[in-house]
Amino acid sequence: MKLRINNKEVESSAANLAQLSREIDLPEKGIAVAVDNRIITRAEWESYVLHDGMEILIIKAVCGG
Amino acid sequence: MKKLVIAGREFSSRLFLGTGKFPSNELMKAAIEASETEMVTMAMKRVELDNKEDDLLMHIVNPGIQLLPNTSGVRNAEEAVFAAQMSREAFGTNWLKLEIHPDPRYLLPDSVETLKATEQLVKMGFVVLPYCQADPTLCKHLEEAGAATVMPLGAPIGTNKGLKTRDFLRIIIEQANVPVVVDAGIGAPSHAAEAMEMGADACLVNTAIAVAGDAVEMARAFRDAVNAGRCAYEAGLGAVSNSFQAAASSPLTAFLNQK
Repeated sequence: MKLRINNKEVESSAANLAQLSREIDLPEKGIAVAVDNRIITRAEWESYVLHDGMEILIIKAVCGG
Repeated sequence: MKKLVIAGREFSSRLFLGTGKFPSNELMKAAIEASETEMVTMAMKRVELDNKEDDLLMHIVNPGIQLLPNTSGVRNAEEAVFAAQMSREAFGTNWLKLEIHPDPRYLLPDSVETLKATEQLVKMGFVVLPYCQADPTLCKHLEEAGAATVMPLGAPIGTNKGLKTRDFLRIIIEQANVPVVVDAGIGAPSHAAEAMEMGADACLVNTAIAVAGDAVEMARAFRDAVNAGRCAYEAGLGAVSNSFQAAASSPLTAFLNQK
């Protein structure tokens, strides 16, 4: 299955968001994920099923004023 | 010095710090500590999957510090609302520095979109601190929309030019019923002191500290300037004379020439 993560094509076998987060080694905290422009809270990751072609946005904190 | 209260949270420090442009996270952390700030801003960016950078939050998360994520990079109210929700999910806070500046050349805030986003975000339960033009009418509208503070600019972001908007800041301070935080353009401790003497409730400083030769020492200098300016405001500054003549502060009558 191909996903687009932060505008980059990624081949993944993850069935849901929780599996994907382990696959790409996301940190435990300080991350937010949106799929096809909808925010998916961490509590929903386990039950959120992924499909081919989904657009995934993952953000984190960075220095700024 | 009176404590500052924003959305029910008390702050002993009236200096807010931005975390951009520091040469290292270690230096940033040391400057945060030296400044004694209790409010620190940060931005958001997309995770790069093949580049595991240092974790910024590790350096700034502290029970005594309110995190203030900003919406830098958004171009309109719709994007700001989305960014705010991402921020709340990622950082577990509903506090938000709302900044919408679509033009990267001047980074001036878009007043129309900022007001629109403030109205929506307040209804969604966010504590909104909008970065805005030093426009007294706009600041009243933001206040009426439920903004927790207004954060008018002193000069464009990162310019260190000081309070170019001082006359308008005075009007904003006079009229505001929410705290006024002077944000952007403050380049020297004297600028921060001037804003505080005018009655601003707090200053947000980033570039001036981050790019200083000694960021930690500069953080202390800003801490002292903000405190001094606030104390002077609370103490009540003397009136400025319009006369060309002096007004003696020592007794002039009969001493040296006394017969």
